[in-house]
Amino acid sequence: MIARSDSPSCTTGGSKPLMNVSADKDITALLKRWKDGDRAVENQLANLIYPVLRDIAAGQVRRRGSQLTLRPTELVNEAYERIAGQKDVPWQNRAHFYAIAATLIRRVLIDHIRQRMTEKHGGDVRFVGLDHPDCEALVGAGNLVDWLALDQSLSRLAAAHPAVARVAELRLFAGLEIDEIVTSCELSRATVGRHWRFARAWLSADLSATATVADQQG
Amino acid sequence: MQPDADRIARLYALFDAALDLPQAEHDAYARAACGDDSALHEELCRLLAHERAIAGRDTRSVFGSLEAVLRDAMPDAVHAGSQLGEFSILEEIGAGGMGRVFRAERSERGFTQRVAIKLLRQELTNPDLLRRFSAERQILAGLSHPGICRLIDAGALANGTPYVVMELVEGEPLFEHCDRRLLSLEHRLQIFRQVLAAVSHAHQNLVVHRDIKSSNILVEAGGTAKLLDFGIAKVLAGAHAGDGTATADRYLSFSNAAPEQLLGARVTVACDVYALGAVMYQLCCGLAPFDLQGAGAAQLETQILHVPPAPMSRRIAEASERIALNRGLGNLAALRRASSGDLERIVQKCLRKAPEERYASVEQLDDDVANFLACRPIRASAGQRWYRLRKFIDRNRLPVALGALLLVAVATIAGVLAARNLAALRERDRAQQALSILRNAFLSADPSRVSGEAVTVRAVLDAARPALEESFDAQPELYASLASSISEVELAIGLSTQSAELFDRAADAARRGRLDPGEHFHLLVMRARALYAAGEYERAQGSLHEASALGVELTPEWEVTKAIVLLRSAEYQQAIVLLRHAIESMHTRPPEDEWANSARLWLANALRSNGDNAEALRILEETVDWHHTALDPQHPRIALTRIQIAVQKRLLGRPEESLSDARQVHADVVAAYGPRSPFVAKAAMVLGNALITLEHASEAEAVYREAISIYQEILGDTHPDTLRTLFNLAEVIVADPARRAEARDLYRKVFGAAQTRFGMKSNATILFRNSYARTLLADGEAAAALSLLVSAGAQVGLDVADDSNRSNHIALLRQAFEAVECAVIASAPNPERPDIQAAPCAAAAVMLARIDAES
Repeated sequence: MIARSDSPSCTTGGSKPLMNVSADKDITALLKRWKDGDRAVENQLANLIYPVLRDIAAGQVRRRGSQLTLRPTELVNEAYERIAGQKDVPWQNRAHFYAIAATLIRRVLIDHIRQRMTEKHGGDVRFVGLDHPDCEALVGAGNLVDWLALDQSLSRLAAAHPAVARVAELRLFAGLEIDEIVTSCELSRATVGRHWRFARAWLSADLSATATVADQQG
Repeated sequence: MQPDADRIARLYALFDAALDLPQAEHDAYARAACGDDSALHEELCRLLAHERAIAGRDTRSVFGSLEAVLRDAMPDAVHAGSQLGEFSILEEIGAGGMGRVFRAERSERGFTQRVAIKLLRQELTNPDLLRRFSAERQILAGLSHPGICRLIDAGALANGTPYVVMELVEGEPLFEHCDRRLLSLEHRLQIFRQVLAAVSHAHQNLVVHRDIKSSNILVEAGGTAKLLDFGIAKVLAGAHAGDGTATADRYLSFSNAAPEQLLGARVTVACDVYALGAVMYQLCCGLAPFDLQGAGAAQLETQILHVPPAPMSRRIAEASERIALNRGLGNLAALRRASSGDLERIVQKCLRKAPEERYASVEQLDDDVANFLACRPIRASAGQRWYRLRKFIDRNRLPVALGALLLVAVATIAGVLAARNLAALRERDRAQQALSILRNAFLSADPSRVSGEAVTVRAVLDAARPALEESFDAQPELYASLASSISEVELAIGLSTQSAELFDRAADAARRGRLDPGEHFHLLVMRARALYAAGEYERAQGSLHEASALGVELTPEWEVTKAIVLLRSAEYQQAIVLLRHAIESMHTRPPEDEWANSARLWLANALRSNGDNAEALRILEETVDWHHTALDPQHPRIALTRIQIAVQKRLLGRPEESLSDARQVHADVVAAYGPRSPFVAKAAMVLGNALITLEHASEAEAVYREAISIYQEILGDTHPDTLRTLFNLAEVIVADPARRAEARDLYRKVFGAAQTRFGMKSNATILFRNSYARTLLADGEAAAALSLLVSAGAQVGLDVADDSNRSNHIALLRQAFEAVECAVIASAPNPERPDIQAAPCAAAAVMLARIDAES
């Protein structure tokens, strides 16, 4: 029998207030600025929304025990439910929240991976190019895919074609299905489908090119 | 590449349009649509190819799942101040490959216990792992030893993250501890013995550590060493069982993993012995057994599986002074002396590739470390076949391993040549490094220089040549440097002619390029050595001269080579002076050193040639004593020197001693290397000679035949050693009146082969001819003897023959001249004896007249 123990810090229940009022106001203001195109507030937003995301994740852990499956979609949805459910949050459109959530999750993740790599002097995280023969077997094992490279590819794509990149970001980092992206981005289903198809091929090609270059340099 | 908006838009449109068409038309469409823009065309085709590859596949299978990363990133359940079961987390004290470590405490009945909690990484989590963990926990918790960090509890967080609660050890890692305190080797070994005691305790409880490395050994301020993470590697490795060993050992430290761990074979105490050897290696000499910096996985694997670790003494030569200072020693030479000999043997025995060749238990290893510290003889030297030599003679295996290494080297060279830019310098260092690994492997593998037939290696070396040749004009110094390394390898495996040729080219390139004078000097000395081995004595002399003209200080290597060349021209005294000086300047070098060793053997040789047999014997005996200070008693060098001692005693007129020495060394080498080794042949030959001296003919014949059959198998039918032994055999047989024909037949064969192999000017050829002729004469075949002795070759040979061969030849010639009755024939040819020709008689008459005139 394996002893299990929960940390009290993980046991904050749903009934407990998540944020104080001033944080709510901050979020409201920041989200508005972000929606209006002020990307400089992303950091502050991340600092505010990240604890919510984390708390939700911890709640999921508590409810489901060790059978933990953190799906980004559920995470984002639950975060939305919580934040939108509170008063004075003017953005009722779930789609807008998806957009910022996907961006935030992406940022948090990439920072996290970077930090982990620095801690380990880059030695312990193993990356596999997409043209690796065992790619499919390996991706199942977790963070074997080069998320950093994916992030960089996505940034390159965003510089040239922001709409396509946005679809990919929602798909990959918020785990949204095509229909959800359609709502979120207010685009036609056909366009989202084409964007995704292109983004997928382009990222895949870009990633394997990067992997090949890295192999040669290494 | 940074795509611009227009280009992406265009690509997008083309890609979209293409996908509306049937797949078969994609190519044609892409060609037509892109027109002259070949870059765009290429990019489009790439996109289409990727689309075909991933269409219909799940997003997660293409880009991977975010979940694991997310899970890892999100819940930070354990942090300072949080509670884990009955333990309060105080602070994070470290993060490593396996996970994060926290300091924690629990209070129980007024007693506070401090512990370390190690949280394993999320990726390592799966239900199987947890199950295994709980199975192991009991056993691990049962390990109670002051040197083992005790396992207190293990479990899993709610999210499945496994954790281990352990005794809190406040210390620093072994190497840091020793280095910071400048601990001496003795002191280091005493601490190491604590580790051995701990591992031994675990082994007695049937627990193998599997991942012993310096960072798992902490030394507390009071000097107590504690071993961490016992058994955890097993749980982790087991979690990946069945999905390939590479993954299984991903979390094990690569440098200390034993070959069988890499191969996924059963992990036993031998793995721990290996890892302990690796730790001890670095503890003593400051460097890991293998230089893993910058090596690729395949290269690493080759090294761990096939390449014996370089002796510590050799590694120390390349190390920084700091390493010696950290051990309280004044310089590297002192460290090298301290870590050679028994210490080296102990470490090497731990690091053997085959588990069964290592210490059978940690206690045995500890015994030897204790013996070493007490200056007692160690176990590692007793009754052990000499490992690397055995590896070498095991022909099927070594060439394969070295072949693989060579391929790496060749590939690197090819890379260098392709680069041809500034980066080439760095690349050259890498290539040089690869080659020096090789060179060391060869030098240590074949000290006896009896191979020559390692076909695989040779083929790879040949393959390296064309790539190398490309740099001859453009980068002469690069060429000189690499070619010189390859030549050394060729020389080491006995391809002396080939080696000399390549050294010539290298010297040529060195003259044109601006090679470092020291390196240039070394190259010329090695070329001289290769030329000597190839029988080109004058050119060897020239190369030495060229080297001395470089203005670099003469090295002992130069002096030894010069002395060898001088010996050829019988300038014994000069050679003796040079060799004595060279030995003096190399007095700090260990017996593993090729040059230091051969200088002593050549000195004995020179003394013998100079008639000073007693001094030659003294040098040889001194050399064996010196060998025993550092080499395994079964080391071929010792066997070869003991064989020389037997020879020397016979020459000193002590045949009984010689015989008993030869018998002993013969029995020893049979036991050590098996009955078919070249050393056995050499010993048998010398034993035969001693037997003959004491007139034990039939036993002599038996041992000669033994030697011959080995030589024929290993060296071929016409190798000098084969022919010499055949000749000795003939000398035994000829004494038996009933076997004259057999003896004559042997002489004829040996002489014929020598003629082809050594040429007419060789004293061996002349000696063989004389004996053959003598037998013919004794059997009444005077005419045949005469023809033989006056042949064109014989006349050439006579002018260069040494004194004894020359006088024998002349005596035989006179005998034959008379036996054939040449004087009679000259005046009146005998028509009844058509076999007696006038021509040989006439030639003999001319020869004898010339000889008389000269004397």
